[in-house]
Amino acid sequence: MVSQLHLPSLNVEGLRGIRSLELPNLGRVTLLAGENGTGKTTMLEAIRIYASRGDERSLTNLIEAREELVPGSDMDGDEMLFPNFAALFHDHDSDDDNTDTLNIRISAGRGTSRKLTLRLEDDPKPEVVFSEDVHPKRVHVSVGKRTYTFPVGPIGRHQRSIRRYHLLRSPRRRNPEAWPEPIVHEALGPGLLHASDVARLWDSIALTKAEDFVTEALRLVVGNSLERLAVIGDPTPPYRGRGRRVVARLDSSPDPIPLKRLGDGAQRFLGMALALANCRNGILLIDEVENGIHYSIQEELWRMIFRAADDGNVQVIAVTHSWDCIAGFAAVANEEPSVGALYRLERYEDDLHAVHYSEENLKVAAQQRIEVR
Amino acid sequence: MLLVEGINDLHVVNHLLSRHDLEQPFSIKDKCGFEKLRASIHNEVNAPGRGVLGILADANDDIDGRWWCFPQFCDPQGP
Repeated sequence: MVSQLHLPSLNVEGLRGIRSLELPNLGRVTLLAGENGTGKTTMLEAIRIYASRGDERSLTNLIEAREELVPGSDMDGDEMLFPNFAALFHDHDSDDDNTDTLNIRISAGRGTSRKLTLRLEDDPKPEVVFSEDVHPKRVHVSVGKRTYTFPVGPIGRHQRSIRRYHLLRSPRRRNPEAWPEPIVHEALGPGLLHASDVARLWDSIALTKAEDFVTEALRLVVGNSLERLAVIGDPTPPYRGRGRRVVARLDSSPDPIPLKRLGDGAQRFLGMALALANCRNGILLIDEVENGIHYSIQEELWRMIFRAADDGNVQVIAVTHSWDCIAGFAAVANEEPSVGALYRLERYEDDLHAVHYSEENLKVAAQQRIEVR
Repeated sequence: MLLVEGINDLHVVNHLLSRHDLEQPFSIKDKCGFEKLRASIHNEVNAPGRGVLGILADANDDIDGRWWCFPQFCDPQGP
């Protein structure tokens, strides 16, 4: 039975460089291609916002990951850097604190429950005014008919407690059943996972069947000499953040060896397999999926992703710049029962446009080597 | 870009251009048969940076059939 996808389609308006962009037919596995600056990574961010239901912490993480910070001072006069929430919104001017109300709209199919809106607006009843130069702002989040707001901008200790008050009295906290559950999701960036993230993902699958899947996936890169994996080390000080690491036992070596010695490809495969295993019934996002993976095993990579996505009811959306990656994707999409789709995003003057390639189109593109990136 | 059904059509176009001392400001792609040509139209129309696409196809004995398999790929608003 084919499970319904969390994202049968995706429509994004007003997020960063995207004025409006629609992807009308997403697959179980969807690949996004296109030149730099065409909004591929922003579409992944849109999905993270949607999946987290506009969670304030997730929004802050997205802003901080791009180092979109503004200097300011808190109530005590201490200089600090604050997340610039306006940076998420299209046509914002971060220097202009008098920006009108800005909106981000993300829809993932039909029905009001599949629509999320973020609105950045002046706070009509600010609890604290720092000075006449700073207009207090707030973000208004709505998912379907449910809403909550939180203040943003320079905040001091005093206002932090006000924020907590806002969150505590919001319908989301007062009545958590009424607020839609976040969708399970993981987002892999273009680089390697931090050791602490690997350890976190490993802990949730250790000694389960998913551990066998992860080990098997890694054998695609390392070969059958890989016997088993483990995460070892002490996370407590003075090793915090560096203490836990993945080690592998190979049949050729009497002692375990650090996974890092097996190369970036092995670490990248491990990250993807772990993330897939942790996203059952959820969404996995992978930026620059080809990074660190040799072209000769791109098909193996996609076969692993398609099968795991199917088995675990995971929807995968990945970004690539690589022809080898697309060719491998096309070959596997045509042989696996799950639906694969590719979109190329392109900029036409000020607007973005998405070109859809069905599995049949991809097959022809791969056979005739027609450029689709 | 001009798509043609086969090597003969490719030579015909090349000879016509050279006979009339015309430069060839486009490339010609031999699709090795009408079915492969037709299957590739979506991808060729949407190839990155493609501004103009020409198609040279034999009508043979089925003018309507050949003609009406193309409009579905065209933008109804025109260029």
